Amino acid sequence: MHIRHFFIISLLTAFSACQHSEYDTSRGIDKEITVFTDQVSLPLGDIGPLTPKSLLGNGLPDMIKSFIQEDEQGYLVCQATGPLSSNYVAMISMGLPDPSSPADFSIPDNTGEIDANAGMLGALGFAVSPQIFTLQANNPLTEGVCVSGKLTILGEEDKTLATEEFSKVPMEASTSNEVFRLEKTDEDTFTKFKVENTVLHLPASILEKDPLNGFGSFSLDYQYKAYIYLSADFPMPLNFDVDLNAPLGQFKVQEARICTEVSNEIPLSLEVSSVMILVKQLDEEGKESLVPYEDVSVTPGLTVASGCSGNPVISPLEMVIKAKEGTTIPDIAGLELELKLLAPAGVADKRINLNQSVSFNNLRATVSGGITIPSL
Amino acid sequence: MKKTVITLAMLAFGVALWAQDKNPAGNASLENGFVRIGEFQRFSRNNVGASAFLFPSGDKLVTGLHSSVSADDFLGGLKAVNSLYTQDDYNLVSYGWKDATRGFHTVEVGAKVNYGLSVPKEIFHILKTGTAQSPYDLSALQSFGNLYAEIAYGYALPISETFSVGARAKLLVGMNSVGISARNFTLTTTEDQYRLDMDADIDLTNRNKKVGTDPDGYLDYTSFSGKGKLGIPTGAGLALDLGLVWKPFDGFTVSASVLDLGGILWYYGNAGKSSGSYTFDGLKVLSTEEMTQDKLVSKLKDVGEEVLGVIKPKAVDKCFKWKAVPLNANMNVSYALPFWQKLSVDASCLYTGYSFCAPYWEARGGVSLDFPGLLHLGLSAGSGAHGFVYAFNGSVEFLNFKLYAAFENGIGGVIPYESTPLKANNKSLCIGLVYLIK
Repeated sequence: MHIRHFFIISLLTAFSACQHSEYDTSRGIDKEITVFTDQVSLPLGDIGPLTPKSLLGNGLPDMIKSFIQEDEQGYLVCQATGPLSSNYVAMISMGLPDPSSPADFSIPDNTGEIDANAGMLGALGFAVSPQIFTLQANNPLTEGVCVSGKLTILGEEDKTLATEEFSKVPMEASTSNEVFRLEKTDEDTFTKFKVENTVLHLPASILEKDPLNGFGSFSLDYQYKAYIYLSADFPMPLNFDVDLNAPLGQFKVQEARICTEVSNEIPLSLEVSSVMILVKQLDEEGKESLVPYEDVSVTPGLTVASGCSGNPVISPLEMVIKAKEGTTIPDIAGLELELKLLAPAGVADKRINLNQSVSFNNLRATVSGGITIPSL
Repeated sequence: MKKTVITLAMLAFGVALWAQDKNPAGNASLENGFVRIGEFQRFSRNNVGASAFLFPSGDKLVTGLHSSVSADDFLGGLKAVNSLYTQDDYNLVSYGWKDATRGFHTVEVGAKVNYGLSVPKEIFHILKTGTAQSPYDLSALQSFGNLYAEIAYGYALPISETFSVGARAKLLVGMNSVGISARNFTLTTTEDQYRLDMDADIDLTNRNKKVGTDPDGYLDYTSFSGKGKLGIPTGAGLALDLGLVWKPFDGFTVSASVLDLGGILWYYGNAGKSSGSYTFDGLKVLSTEEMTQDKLVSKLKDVGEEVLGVIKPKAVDKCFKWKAVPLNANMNVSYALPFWQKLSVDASCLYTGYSFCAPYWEARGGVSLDFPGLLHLGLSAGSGAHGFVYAFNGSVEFLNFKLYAAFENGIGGVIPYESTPLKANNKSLCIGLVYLIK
């Protein structure tokens, strides 16, 4: 081979076809990338503890406060109080045959209705238990006295729920005393009461033992307190719309799984019966509205089991948000949630407390099928 | 005209054996001295090419992270550790002379710079497929750069008519060095927890210009004190070249050498250490009050700060570190054909060991034409650590001047209008001019 041919062939070998036109970067490089095409998991953290009180902001709304209250420990209660009788020391002393000797003084019988609205709650699946009826008596004297009597609690249709007698219950001097307490866990709601045969067992010379010189009074009051719990499933689902502005469409996510362990102290089971994704839609007039998006399914039937104060119950939850084959999760403008409140099961203390907490622990997300980032 | 084109082409592409063979024993056969007026040589040794990251798709190019590129296609084209390495050698001047006792002396002054980056495949694996295959060892992630000068004295001695030996002692003067390397860099990802374990060093020389530190002791690259003076040495070392040439019979030559056996003791005045572990298991105790965008962003910033607390290098005491320079071992065998001794068949092998990335090797065979006093032409091809390689070499003599140039490459082509190779590649270019003292 001629030397010239040798080098020409060599050069051609080396440099012809070295430029690969399909790799011509001057045509541009599509910088869209899709990362984590199998799946990526990310720990999100812990949410909570959340309490009904913190979720409600400033406690119970005023509308509800008129028939449900929060007691000093945070329990939801129905309660009522009222006076039964009041007798000045001077008046009692005047009626005694011999004020210088110990004597019994009878107080007229009292009948009253318990105006606590507890019965209204039944229509919503709530009930009250335990119910506590107490008699409070004020002793104005500087010496202790005793009181006796009989209490009858009536329920619906004047059904007698309890009859209790109390005899010579001591009342400490110069203070208000709980002279009788009746606590029942029956399902029947207290509606009326009768206080009969009430007798004050007085010491001698009560006028002299009254620091107010006879203007002190023996008063008798009642207090009714009933703790609220959910005794039957709440009769209707609760629908909530949650506003969101999650522009997920650009990321072309096909499936996201969110897992958590819910630790619940609230004695209510909560079922998320339906989650519908809402997207923005423009009508013919260009008006924007939120409409359900049917091409994405969210696992229904998530249930958070009920717990109670100090004994939270842990429920593992897994929610899968999945786009239909060939589609991806769109820009989410909101969620339409349907929740069901279910009666607690297997819980010792069913009383609802606004300080009971629910926590979403070990919240984690797994995205499958990749996340697309339009351009780096 | 044709002769001119061919001559220029020859000069542009080729590795002149005379130039490439840095065997210190090679000069023993020279009858007269020389002055090398200058030589530039560049090596690019990349075990992945652009085609591992760019993929044609329709009329466009997409990256390996595009959805149209499968994980197998993208990750299958990557190496366990993907390295980019470049080395530039500048021989500023050399002078060689023969003494009265047949020995040949050389004095050389030059400079070398090398820099590189190594990225473990795991990083791309995480990005492409996700976090299912935890844990990930990312400790191969490193980068480095070194600039140093060489002052060398060489001596070659023909022991006999057929056997010569040579040695070259080099004083290495470190100018600047930077290195980021990890003893441990592990990312463990589970559904419940991400954990980062790190134990890495950042070494940066510069005797007079001190990188500042923030109040927590982290290096602050936005604050410097002192005036940096590029010319002040920041390291010193020694290296040795050893070689032999054996011509057992007429036309047959064996040449072997070990080059750059040594290293530099660098003074890292700006040393830092990233060390520690960080565990992220989500944002904790998010109450209703904290579920606002501002507070969530604030918590995320706190997480970022904690991660940075592990990654950011903390200043450590200045230190000395010994780092070997790239070590070369070469062997060449050449046989001049008896029927026309101007034509030779050659075989050569090369091994380069690096302290900072995977070694490189190649073995080649070729032919060469040698017209003494006029020109030398050669062609060789073979296989190396990065696949097929070929080389052209040539030199031409005119009067007392010898101009030589060289080109070595792999196959696979380059990105049009750019020199970026598409495949894993060893690419070298050499050009030099020598004045021969006759």
